[in-house]
Amino acid sequence: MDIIDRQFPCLEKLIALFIRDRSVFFVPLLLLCASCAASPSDEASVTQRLPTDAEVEQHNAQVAPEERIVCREEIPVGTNIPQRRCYFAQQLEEVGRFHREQLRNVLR
Amino acid sequence: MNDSRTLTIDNGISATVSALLLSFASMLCMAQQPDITWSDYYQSEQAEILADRARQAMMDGRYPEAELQLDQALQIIRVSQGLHNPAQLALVDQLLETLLLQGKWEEFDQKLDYISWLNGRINADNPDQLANGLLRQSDWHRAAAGVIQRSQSAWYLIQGKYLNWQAVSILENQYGKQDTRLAPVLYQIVLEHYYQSVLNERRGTTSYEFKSDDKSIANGWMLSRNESVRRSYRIGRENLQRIRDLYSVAPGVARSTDALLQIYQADWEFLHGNNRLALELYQDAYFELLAAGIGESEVEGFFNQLIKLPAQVLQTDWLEPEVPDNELVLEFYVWSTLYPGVETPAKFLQPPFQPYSDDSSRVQLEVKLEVSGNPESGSFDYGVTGLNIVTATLDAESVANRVFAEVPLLKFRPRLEAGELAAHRPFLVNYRFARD
Repeated sequence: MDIIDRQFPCLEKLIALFIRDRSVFFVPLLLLCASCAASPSDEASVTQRLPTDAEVEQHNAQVAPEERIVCREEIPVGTNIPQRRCYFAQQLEEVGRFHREQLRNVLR
Repeated sequence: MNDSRTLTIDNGISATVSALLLSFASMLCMAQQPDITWSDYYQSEQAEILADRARQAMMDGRYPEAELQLDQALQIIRVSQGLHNPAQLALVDQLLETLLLQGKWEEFDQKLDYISWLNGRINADNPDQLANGLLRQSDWHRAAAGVIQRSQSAWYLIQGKYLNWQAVSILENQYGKQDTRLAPVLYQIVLEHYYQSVLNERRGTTSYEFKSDDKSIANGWMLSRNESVRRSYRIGRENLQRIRDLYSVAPGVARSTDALLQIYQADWEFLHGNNRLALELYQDAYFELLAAGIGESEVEGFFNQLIKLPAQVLQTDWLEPEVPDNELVLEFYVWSTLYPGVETPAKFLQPPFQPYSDDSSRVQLEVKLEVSGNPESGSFDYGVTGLNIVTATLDAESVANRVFAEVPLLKFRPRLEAGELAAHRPFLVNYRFARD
């Protein structure tokens, strides 16, 4: 405690203040909790929401086939809960090609 | 000398007379020919004559002749009035009909591409007309989906759906995302998703996301049929909720509108087998109509009507229900063997479309709609029972097999009496089979 007091002289004063009158710390603590509970920024919430099926279809109607989006339910390894995942068609194409090549290499 | 000149003059006069006689004779022959090939593309009035002749030929079933005449009329319009003249649109419409009925799919696709280009060209600065043009093209794609052989039906249906979505985007850009003008198009997309879900093209896997716009079946990502149907269900449900939200914020909308739109949501759940949820929505709508000030007898009459599902028109205003005659006879035109239990879209029963179902093979049936199971527990069904063939134009045995296979697939909006599910009294159906 002596080492802490020497390095953090203010800490002793804060502890003494807390013992004398705890209500002093009530408002700052409340503000601290409120800031932690605050919702993320609008930009972050938008990027976290995947497009609905109708939105995906409306998008796909406007764009070239290679820019279309495919959303599907996938069950990740290690869980039985399906999760909705969305990909650009180009991504699926590339991943599929890569996997086929790898399989060909393995089977050779 | 004089004799030779006289002879020459005589020969000249006789040659001229002969030429005049010949040309007169040829003119007479041409006037008598029934099928004249117009080579003068600068006479625009000829286009109308050709179009009238084509219409008559269509009515008589002479489709190749109609096609030729319409093609010529189209060329005349293009030459005499300009390549981008909107007067072509009506002719291309008729031409598409002749090509569809003849099954000339390559030419049909070419004309679809042409009308797509023309619409984009002439309506580039007019979003309303551009959207209307897209909706018209979508109608033609849907018409083809009901006629073409099974391997390409899905492609036409989905291309038509994409055109509707493009129209939605144009209307959103023009009027905003909260405008009620989006509602009819969103509802048409709901119907297309229903058609997609009943399409029994491939029972195992269904690829409805295409890698390209080619018609190749293998060009897509494979979804299981169940996944595809669930996806269509979700999109339909989302669109119906969106329609309801559009009207909830629109000014001056009657309270009964929300109840009517809720009924469409109930229809959708009922079509997908969610009977319990459907009944809850129907009952909510029933009481909401009463709360909106509609008389009880009118509400009872509304839920007593025979409505084939899916309802083809989005009704947002309260209309006093029709009181049925003593003997109720329903007309049902089957759209296609590819879409079992689905009626021909109402638009395709009017010009320029012609019903593709076979009027020569029809049957009159007596049908009852009954409740089976326990509605209170949520486990029930409401469907066709007590099927009786009254009259038929074909061999009785072949008709019976088809009737008992197809008619039970028909869906009707459940009848409510005092807010509770009730059976419907027997009624007659004039049922026309799809062409094979």
